Amino acid sequence: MEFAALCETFALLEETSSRLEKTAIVASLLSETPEGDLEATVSFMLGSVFPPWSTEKVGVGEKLIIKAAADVSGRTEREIVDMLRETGDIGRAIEHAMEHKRQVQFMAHHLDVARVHADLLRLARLEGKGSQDKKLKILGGLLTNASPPEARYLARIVVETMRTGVAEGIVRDAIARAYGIEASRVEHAFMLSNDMGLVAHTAREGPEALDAISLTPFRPVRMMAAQKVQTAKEGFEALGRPCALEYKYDGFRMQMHKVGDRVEIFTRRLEEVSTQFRDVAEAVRECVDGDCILEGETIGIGEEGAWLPFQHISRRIRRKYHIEEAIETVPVMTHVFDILYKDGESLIDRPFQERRAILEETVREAPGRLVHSIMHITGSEQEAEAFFAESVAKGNEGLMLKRLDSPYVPGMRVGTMLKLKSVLESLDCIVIGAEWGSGRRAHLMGTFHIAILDETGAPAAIGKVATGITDEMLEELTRRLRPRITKEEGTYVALAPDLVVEVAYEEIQRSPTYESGFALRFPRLLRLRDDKGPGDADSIIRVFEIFENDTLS
Amino acid sequence: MFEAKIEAKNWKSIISIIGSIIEEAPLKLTADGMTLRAMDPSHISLIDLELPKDQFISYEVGSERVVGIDVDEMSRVMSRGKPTDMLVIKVDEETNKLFMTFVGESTRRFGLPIIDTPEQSQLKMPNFPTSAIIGIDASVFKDGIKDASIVADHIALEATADALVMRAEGDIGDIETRITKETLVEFKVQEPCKSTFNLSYLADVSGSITGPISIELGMDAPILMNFEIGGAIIKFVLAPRIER
Repeated sequence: MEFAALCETFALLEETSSRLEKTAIVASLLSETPEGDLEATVSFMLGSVFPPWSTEKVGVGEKLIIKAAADVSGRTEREIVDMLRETGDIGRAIEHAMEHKRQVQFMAHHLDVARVHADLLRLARLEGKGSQDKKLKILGGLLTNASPPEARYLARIVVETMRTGVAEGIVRDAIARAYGIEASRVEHAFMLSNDMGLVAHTAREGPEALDAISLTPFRPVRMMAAQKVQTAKEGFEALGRPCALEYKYDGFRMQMHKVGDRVEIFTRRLEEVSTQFRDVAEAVRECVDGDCILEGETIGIGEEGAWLPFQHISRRIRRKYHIEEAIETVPVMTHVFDILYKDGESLIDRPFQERRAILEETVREAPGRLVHSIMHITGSEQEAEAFFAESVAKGNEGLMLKRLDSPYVPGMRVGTMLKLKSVLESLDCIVIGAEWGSGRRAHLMGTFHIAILDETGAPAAIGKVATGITDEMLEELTRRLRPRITKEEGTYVALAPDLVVEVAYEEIQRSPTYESGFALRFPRLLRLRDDKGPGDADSIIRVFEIFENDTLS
Repeated sequence: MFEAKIEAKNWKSIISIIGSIIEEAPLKLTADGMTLRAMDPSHISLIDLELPKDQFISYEVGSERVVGIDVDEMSRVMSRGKPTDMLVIKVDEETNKLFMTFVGESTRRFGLPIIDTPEQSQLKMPNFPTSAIIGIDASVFKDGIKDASIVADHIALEATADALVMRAEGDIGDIETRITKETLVEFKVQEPCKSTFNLSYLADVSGSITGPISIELGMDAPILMNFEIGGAIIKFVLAPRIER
């Protein structure tokens, strides 16, 4: 399939904001896409070259694609950067440069989807000395053969921001529609494989083939999510009595995959952190004989075995060097609480209680390093409250409540798992903009514009936060956000929506001021959530639920 | 069959100059010698090479054939050659490999896979009018290029009635090199003309040239550089930048 045809579809998607129309456009694209191009088409549509489970990255920043476009077009890098500032869109900036190119070329080939995909894979796999030059050459080769609109989408694919408003939900519905399969079966296959390209491909073979897609070790699945409740009573009402209560650790959630001696550890963002947490990998290797996929929470251990808050351990995630030193200075302990797979068999459809029993017999405990989460099964509110108090006293956030017969549902907040927290209400928000401070803090960003996810998965503003931030944190935020600036207007800077922060608040209010239609009363920045990506931020649906809930009670 | 022997340092300099522009190239093995023509991935330049049979110490060829080479990989192999080594290049039909054997104090054989180079087949030399032919010593030309690299990423080459002018302008300043016809090896200007080029391509290609370069220029037209390296006759064509 010609790449130009795919880009025409992207342009159509960009023109409509209707979810139904988008779904119809994607469905018809999928039915027209030849077999061999299907996976690439789906990946590109979702703004990526690799499926979410893959740890491979294209590894091309805006800077490199700008340099490649400058070479090929003969426009200067500065001209392209100015255009990027003006439009806030790398795609448009590159397209503009290619439209007004000065550089003459001897010939051009048509790009097809397979060639673009092959080149981007080659690009992603280049490493070592001279690889930047080779990357530039490959990008140059693609751009030189691209029409200006093709260049727009090439650039967006490379930096993984499509701006077509097509998220996984739309692709799922479109696959369902294109091949006449229930959306729930498509969703199920996606949750287990984390690979929409594979799902599209398999859906063509029919619903039975799709149902056969299962968990595969070393392909992480999105973690099951919990809804919040205010009281234990509310929890029991939702889950039934008795249910399983577990400590809610203030740590780092991990999915641990093991086959033979190979262990890989993934974060909630599905990033592989086996090297950073090789002590945890070692513990898993020691404590489990067979193959498995486990889930647990890893917490930092302080002096005399005290459990440390999340902050301490989060530093280990971004470590690339001196890992040994970090392992010594921040020792950790993992509490495993679920098992999704054992010796070739998926367990996710088994009831929770059965999984817990398998977990206990599969994982030998290594005190202080790898243990089973502390659990208590009860139907009594009194016992639940006492258990809650005990958990909080140990430095935890509160309790997790789990329905005994619930399956494990990857990536979903299905209401069979609840969290009961002691701290202030908080939301995970994406930082989408900031304002430079004044006076002593003129070199630091001071006020942060935050957003939650709307129905399409795009960020929608919900307010600004300027309190609760220490000087140290301001410096870190400024340092991390500066490279994400896409546009500056006076003291305001627009940022690529990437960084997630936890924001506490008193109350959620209706507000016409912000895009989301809501605002936070007395917002206070609690901390950076490096373990979360923009897709893990709280959604408008969640905000609406809290709002309804608070208003009713 | 194909088997040829050449001084390793000559082959190294040839491969190095091709590798600065091109990743993959079809090497044609004919009764008269080797030829190669390839375009860079961005299609703005073309390199054409002719290495006559008499530049080899020995040269044996069966029927004419083309072998696709990965120029980067070959450069890496050549970096292992010693200055006094001889190099034997041999096509191994059985394994579809190119054997590169360094003969010196020891005999070291590298096998490189022969690759397909579909994008490089049937390339024609671009046709364009030229208004000036200028012969210049490589070191003088390279100085002009290096000076320009300090301020810009492009350079204007202008043939006036009595000089070659190299001019670059960037954010931090500008630079002008003027080489009058008296100091040039050759100077034939039918009509004054000027064209602008991507500097990094010129810098990469001219980097290892030592002898004279013959430059053909036109008005907003490609540049053609003729020169010899390691016994090979090379033509390099680079498309201009045009203000529009």
